[in-house]
Amino acid sequence: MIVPLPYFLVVGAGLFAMGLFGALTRRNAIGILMGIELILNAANLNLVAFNRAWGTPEGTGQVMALFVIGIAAAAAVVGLALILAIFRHRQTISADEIRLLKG
Amino acid sequence: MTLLLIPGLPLVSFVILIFFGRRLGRLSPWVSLLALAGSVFLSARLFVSSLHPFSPSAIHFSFLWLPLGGRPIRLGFLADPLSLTMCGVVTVVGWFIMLYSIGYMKGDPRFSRFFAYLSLFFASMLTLVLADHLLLLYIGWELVGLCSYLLIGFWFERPAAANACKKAFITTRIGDLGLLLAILLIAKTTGNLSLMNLSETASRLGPLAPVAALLIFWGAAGKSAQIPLHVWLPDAMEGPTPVSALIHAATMVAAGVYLVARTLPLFLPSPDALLVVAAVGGATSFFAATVACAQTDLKRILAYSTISQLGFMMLGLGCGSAGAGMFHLVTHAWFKALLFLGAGSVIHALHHQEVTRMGGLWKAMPVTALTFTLGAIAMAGIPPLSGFWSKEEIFTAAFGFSHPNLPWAGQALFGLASAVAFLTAFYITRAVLLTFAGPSRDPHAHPHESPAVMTVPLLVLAAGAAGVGLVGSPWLGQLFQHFLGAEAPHGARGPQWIAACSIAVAAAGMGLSLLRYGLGVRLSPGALAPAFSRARGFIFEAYRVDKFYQRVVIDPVTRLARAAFSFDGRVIDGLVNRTGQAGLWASRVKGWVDQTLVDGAVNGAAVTVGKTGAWLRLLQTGLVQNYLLIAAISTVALFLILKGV
Repeated sequence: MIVPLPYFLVVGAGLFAMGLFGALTRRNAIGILMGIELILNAANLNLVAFNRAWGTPEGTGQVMALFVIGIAAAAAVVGLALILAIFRHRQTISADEIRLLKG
Repeated sequence: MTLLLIPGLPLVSFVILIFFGRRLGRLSPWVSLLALAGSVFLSARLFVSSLHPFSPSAIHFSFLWLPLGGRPIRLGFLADPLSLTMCGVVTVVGWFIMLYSIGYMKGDPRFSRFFAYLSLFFASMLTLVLADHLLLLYIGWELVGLCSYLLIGFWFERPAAANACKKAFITTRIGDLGLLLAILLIAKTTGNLSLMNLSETASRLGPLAPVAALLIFWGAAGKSAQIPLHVWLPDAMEGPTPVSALIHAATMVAAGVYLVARTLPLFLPSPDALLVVAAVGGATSFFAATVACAQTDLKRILAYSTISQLGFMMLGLGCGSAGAGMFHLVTHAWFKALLFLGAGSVIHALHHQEVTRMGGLWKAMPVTALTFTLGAIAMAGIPPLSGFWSKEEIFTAAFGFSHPNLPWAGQALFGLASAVAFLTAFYITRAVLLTFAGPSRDPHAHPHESPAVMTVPLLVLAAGAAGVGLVGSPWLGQLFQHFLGAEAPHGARGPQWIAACSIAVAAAGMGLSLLRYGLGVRLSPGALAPAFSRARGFIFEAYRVDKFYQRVVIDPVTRLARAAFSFDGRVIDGLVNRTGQAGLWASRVKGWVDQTLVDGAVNGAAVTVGKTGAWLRLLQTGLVQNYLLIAAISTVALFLILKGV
């Protein structure tokens, strides 16, 4: 049974919405990172689905998805390291209290 | 190259002494003596080789100095008989004077500086003498003037010395202007300043040759203290006595005579130019001889005597005889250097120069007295000492002088020369008698003979003063004149009675002086005494030429300078101050414009930017989620816009 493309897109959109909502609303910085991961995975799902639906050339979407996963891992490393550093300095990881960039 | 070393060695010694003189201290004279001895040796070698019959008559060495376009300037040295003669006189007489200076300048605080200046003088003088080119000659000419200035003013703490060196420098500068004009004229007309083949230059100058010649004579008159530029030489006696002997008697002042002798081919075509030289020389000679008779300062007697003898040389040159003038230059260098050094020895012993307070030194200073007397007799012209032979040459030349329009010119010059010879014998005998003979007129004086380093040069110079005339005497076939070779000295000799006349006037002058100053016979009748003493005062002040110059030249120039100064103070300074004030007002206006308009614009821009920034900073909350929200909303908005909703 072949799952039609719109199903994937709906799931992807749902994941994206959840991710965006999480990133915008969570106070914990780790939660924000997790939301961002969800957004990236929604994009991955779309990439793979579009590749499968339209085909040529074979595997392009999958390769891109793999790259995104790799980069997401690297980004997570940098992000978590930043959060650790911030925590060491300010004893908090609440996004509300970190407003060093306020103009 | 040897030629380059002759002035080069003293120059090296000058450089050493000026930089390390203080450290060398008492050794410094030996540096300069050694360097000059080198020059003596080299000159002697050249001299001997030029005597050789098969060698070229002149040695020439030149190098490119300024490659100026189509007319490059070469500088070079020329050793022909004329310059070698001068070279020999300068180095040999100079060496002994330098030796003498060690004793004379002993204990002076600027001991080594003195020898540095002397070395520089030798370098410049030898450059002047050996130059093959008027330009190089002029360089040497100015350098010896500088050295003369430095050495006259050597004791510059004394106001008289400071004034004297200024006077000497400015007066000779007036003469130098003439030489410079002559050089410019010759360069402009012929483009060839070389001192060789001057007769060709003269013919290319054509009618301008006498003009150039007289301009050169103008320069020579400044250096050799001829009327009307003679006033500096008596004052130059403020310098140390060895300097007076070396520069202001034997060598530098003779540079003018040398210059005229060197450029005589420019004079020869024009009898008028020659007559001017002879007349100025004769007049100077007579004038200075009379002044010398009235002086009481030993060095001033010798100074006026030097002016007189230089005039005598000019007289000989003006009669067209380079041989006569140069011969007298050589003999004069010896006996006048001797007389000056003798005077220096006396001054060294007594610490004053007034002959009226001397006397009776014969016993205390036998060597000085003997040599001084010998020099005096040589100058008076008693055979067979040197002065006789050279004076006789000048007499002969004067007698043989002929001018196309003035047939009596020769006789007149001869008469003038005889009068000068008479006066010379008179005043120098007077100086000897007042200084050495009779009882001492100063009971407080304790004279003593000078040390050997001073008396040895005196003895050597005395030997020279006695003997050097023989080289030009008929006994040796007028060797010197043939060596110069410029002209055949009047074919045969002059009439025999010229020599007799020369001896007669000299003897008459000496006899009269002996009568008056030796035996104390009053020569003038008592009734005429007031008139005589007035005339004496007038002559004593050197015919008041200095006062005349003071009134006619110096005072107007000073007034002009004062007028220019007050013009400067009022008009120029006023103008400058007005300009300054105008600038001040202009800058005030500019300041207002700057502060109001320019600063306003700048501040306005800054305020605008600041306000905008303050408004925009509201967007920067620092909350990362706000940024994310803005990004998300913006993306959606962009998407909607692109879709064209």
